[in-house]
Amino acid sequence: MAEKERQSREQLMQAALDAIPATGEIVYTDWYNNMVASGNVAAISFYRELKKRGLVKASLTTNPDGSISHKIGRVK
Amino acid sequence: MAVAIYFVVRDSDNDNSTIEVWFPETTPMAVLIAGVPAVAALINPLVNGGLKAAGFKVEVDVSGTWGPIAALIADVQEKAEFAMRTVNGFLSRLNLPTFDENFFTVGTGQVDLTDPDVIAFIDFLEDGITVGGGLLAPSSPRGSTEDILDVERATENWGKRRR
Repeated sequence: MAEKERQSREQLMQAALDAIPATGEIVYTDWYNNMVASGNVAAISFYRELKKRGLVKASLTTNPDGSISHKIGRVK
Repeated sequence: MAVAIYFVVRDSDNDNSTIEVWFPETTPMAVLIAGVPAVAALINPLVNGGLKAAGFKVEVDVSGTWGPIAALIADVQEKAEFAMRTVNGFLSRLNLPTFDENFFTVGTGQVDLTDPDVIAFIDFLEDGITVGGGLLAPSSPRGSTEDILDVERATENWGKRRR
């Protein structure tokens, strides 16, 4: 059962990673909404695990209107 | 916009009071940093209190995006505590008072670490934000040697209120 759970976790983590473009960045909210729309809500929680594993990085910048741009991308 | 050098003074009952001395916002940061002990040396002979903390602060008007009116449900005792680990393993904590309880996972005291607004804040704590032509990256109160590495947990925290 533990092995099955581990495989399930890895599959969810891969689904979360696959939803991030191989190059460039995606707005975090767009990635989040894409995961919800594709029925991969459970995989959303693995974003932090992907960061901790060094597979994904985040970048925040301010837009000219003062709003925040929050994007994520794969680590090369 | 102006800059203040401040001193938090405590009395024999351990009550605190803050002294603020204001300066133009054009005052260079290096001058402000050197100015804190200099102004302290001028005030210290005049008072009996002990010094709890000293530093400088800059007030900036952001009322255009975050106004002064609190929501009816706002409560400064309702806090979320973000516990962060620094590069050298020290724990640093940041509390957000009047935290919106909708960001707690239902039935738990845990902040929802999947919510986009929560993740944006956590990614800021861990990676900083590019603003004003530079990277603004939080550290622990220990300063530049203790960059925030990782937010370990974010939990509900009922706290004191101060008036």
